[in-house]
Amino acid sequence: MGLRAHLPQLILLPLAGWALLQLLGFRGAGNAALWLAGAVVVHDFLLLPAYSALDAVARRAAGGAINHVRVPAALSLLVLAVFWPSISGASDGAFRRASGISHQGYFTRWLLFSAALFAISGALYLVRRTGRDPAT
Amino acid sequence: MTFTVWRSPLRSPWLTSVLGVVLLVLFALVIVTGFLSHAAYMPDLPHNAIVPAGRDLPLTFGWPTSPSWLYALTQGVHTNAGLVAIPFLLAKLWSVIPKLFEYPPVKGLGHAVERLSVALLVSSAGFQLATGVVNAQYWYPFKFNFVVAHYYGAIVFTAALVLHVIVKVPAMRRARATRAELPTAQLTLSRRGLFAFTTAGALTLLAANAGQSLGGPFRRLALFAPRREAFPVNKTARAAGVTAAMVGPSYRLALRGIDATSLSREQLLALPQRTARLPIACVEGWTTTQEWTGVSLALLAEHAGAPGARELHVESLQPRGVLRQASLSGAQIAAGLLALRVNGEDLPLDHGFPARIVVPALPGVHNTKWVSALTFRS
Repeated sequence: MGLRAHLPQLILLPLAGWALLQLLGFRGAGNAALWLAGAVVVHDFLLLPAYSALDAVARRAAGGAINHVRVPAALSLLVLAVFWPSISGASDGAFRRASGISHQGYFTRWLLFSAALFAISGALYLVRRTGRDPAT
Repeated sequence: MTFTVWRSPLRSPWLTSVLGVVLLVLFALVIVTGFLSHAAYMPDLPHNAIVPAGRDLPLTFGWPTSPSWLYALTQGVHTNAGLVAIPFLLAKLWSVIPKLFEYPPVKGLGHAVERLSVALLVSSAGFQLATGVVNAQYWYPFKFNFVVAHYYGAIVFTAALVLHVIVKVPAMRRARATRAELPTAQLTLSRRGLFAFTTAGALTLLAANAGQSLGGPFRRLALFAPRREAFPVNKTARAAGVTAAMVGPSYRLALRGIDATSLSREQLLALPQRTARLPIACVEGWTTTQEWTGVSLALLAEHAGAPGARELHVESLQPRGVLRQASLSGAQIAAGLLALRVNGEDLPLDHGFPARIVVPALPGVHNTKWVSALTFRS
C-alpha cells in the first residue's frame, strides 16, 4: 500500500479542508460552523431517534394497520419539514419585502393535503380488510 | 458490540448500497448543475463574482445563450433533484445508523480517516440541503452569506462524496451479492415497501415544487412551491429603492463605448424593436416565460460606437446591493435585448420600467432591471 492507494484522500481531504477554511473566513463563520455541526447532531441525535420512537409508539397503537398510519403521517411531516418556512409563515416577512406579496394559503393547503392522505389511506385499509374478511 | 434498539432486520449492506446508488445519481445531478450555475454567473467578468476571484476555483467558461431555457433546465434540475434526494438521504442514514454507535468508535488510522470523511459528508449534505431549501423560501435563519456558504459547502460535499464512493465501491460490490431472505414474520414493511415508501416521499416533494420550474399550467399544481404566481417579481421597485421620480420624464439611459451619449425612453422606443419569447429563470428554481420587446444590445453597441463589443457593464438605478450591476459577454450582447415592453405593454415598474436586460439562458438576477447605464468594451 503505497502513496498511490491513498492519493484520493491526499487530494480530497485537503480540498475539503481548504473550502472549510475559506467558508470560515467570511461573515458569520461561527454560525456556519454551528450549522455544519448542527446538521449531524440534529439528524443523528434528535430527528432519527424522535421518529423511531414515534414509529414504535404508532406500531403498538395501530398494530396491523401500521402502514396505513405510518405512510400518510410520514409524507405529511416530510412536507411540513421541507416547506416549513412557507407553511409556518416564518419566511413571510422577507418574502413580502422582496416580492410584494404574501406566502398565503400554505398552512391551509398542508392541512387539506394531510387530511386527504389519511382519508385515502383509511379508505384503502377498509377496502383491504373487507376484501380479506367477507363476513364483516 | 451494537445496541439492540437497532433491530430492524430490514437494515442490510444490500439495502444501504441500493439506496446509495440512487443517491449517487441524484447528488451527481445536483452537484453538476450547481457548479454549472456558478459558471453561468460568469464570475470572471468584472463585478459578477460574489465569491472573490482570488478565493475561487478556476472553473469558469463562457456560458452559452442557446437554448434559451438552458438555465431554467439546469437550475430546475438542481433544486428539484435536491428535494427528491431528501427522502433517499433520510432512508440511507436510517439504514446505517447502528454504525454510528459501534464500539470502539475508531479502529485505527484508516478507519479514523473513513469516519472523518463520513462525518464531513453527512454534515455537508445536511448543510447544503437545509440552506438550499430555506433560501428558496426566503427564510434566512443564519448569519452567513448564502451564496458563499452554499458554494464552499458544495466543495466540501463533493470532495467528501467522491472520497466516500471510492472507499465504499468494494463494499457495494460485496453487498450486491448478499441479498438475503428476510424473516417476513418480524417485518412491518418489506424491502419493496421501503423503496415504495421512500419513492413516495420523493415524488411528493417533486410534485409539491416542480410546477414552479415548469411554468404554465403546472404552476398551480405545485401546492407548496414558493413561487406560484404566473409572472413572479423577484424584487419589487420599493425593495430595491427605485422610486417613481427616478423613472419619470427625466430618465435617460447613459450609453458609453467609444462615444458617450444618453437616450430617453422615447428615443429608445424609436429605434428598431425586436420581440422575443424568453424565460427568466431564477437560481431558486422558478421560471417564467414572457414575450419581451425592446432594442437589441448589439444595436445599442453600434450606437455607442462599439460594434461587436466583447463586454458590457450594466448598471441599475437601484442604489445599493451586489446585484445593482452585472457584466455580460460578447455572446450575451449578440443575443440579448434591452426590453422596454412585455406582452405588448410597457414594462411594469416592478419588472424593471423603464428598461431591463433580457438575455437568453442568463441567471435571473443578471437580467438587470431599471437599467441606468450601459458601458460597452471592445
